[in-house]
Amino acid sequence: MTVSPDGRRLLRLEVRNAQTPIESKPPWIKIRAKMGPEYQELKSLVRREDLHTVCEEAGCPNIFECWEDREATFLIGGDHCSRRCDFCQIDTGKPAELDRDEPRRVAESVTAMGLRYSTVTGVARDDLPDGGAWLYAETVRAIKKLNPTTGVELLIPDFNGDPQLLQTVFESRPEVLAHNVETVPRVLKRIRPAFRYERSLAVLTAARDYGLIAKSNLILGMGETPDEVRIALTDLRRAGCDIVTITQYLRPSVRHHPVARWVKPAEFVEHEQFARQLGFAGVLAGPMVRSSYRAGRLYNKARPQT
Amino acid sequence: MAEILFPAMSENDPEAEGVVSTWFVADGDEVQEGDLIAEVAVDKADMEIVAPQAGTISILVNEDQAVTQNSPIASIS
Repeated sequence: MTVSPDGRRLLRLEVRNAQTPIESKPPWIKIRAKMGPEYQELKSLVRREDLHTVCEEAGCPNIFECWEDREATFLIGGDHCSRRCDFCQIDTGKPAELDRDEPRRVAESVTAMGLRYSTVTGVARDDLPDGGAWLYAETVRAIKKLNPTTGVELLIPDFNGDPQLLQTVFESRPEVLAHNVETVPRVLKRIRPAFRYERSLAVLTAARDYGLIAKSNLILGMGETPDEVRIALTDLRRAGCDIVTITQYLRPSVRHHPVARWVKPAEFVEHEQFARQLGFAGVLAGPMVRSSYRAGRLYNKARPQT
Repeated sequence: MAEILFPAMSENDPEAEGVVSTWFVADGDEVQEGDLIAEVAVDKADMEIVAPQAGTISILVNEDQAVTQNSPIASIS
């Protein structure tokens, strides 16, 4: 294998990944694919409005369950990311021209879907002078303007840790500001080379200091040890993170990083308990959990009680 | 008649393939809506396919045969 399905020449790293065939899965990596009426309707809405969802772009196996419950995570900024992480299915490449009308269409789709809680993430836009900060902030504002009672969870890249760009994003006041460290520092250097562990922790701290609820995610099965997971959870909590999701790495294709281990459901339970003891307000851990999975319910557990 | 499609897997790669790893029904079987009829394997996960309606099943692909996403694997009439 030397070319990708879209005809692009493979990176050397992808060639090396492809030498390890797709692993067979343990019995708990299984979902029921029921393409129900709500799923079908959401699919046509997304097509009609020319929207992108991370559910589709990342080939999420939970799509049938979430979309049937009318939960979707929008992907803004196009379908090409300016950074390459070895676990991620989203294509890396030169992103398309900034689409300034996208926030309006996302907001109208939130209305059309009747969402009480919406999750929005996006690609890194290192090609833009502001890294896409305006687009992220404007999307939150547009959703809230049109849907005043809808909560917004915004999952952002790191904007290189630039305080001014982060400020621009935070001012849009999403209910939850998420930024995923994704893995432990030792593994991060290799798998997420455009990111820095400490810088990501600092983004979470900045969000907390601004008064937002901060959320992050750890993907297990990329070479970390259970001890390193506990250290990372401790780091996240210390950085001011309130909500954490802990998930199993699912390899998008043979060109991506091989699965280092299938974490048993019991280990997820242990990490969940450990995280609760650290004082996280919301914790969701499990093999089929993804970072935006059941986001509205998790937020409700962590929100300030009125 | 209802077509049963192989689940969608990738937006960026329309030719993405998977396989039906197990058929739990035989050609010509009667099924009820919601019956488990097949397990398919894609890169990220294994997926169970259930019957979208009741009827008689016609199987269109063999086990372990590569199938392109969104293409029919069976029909129910």
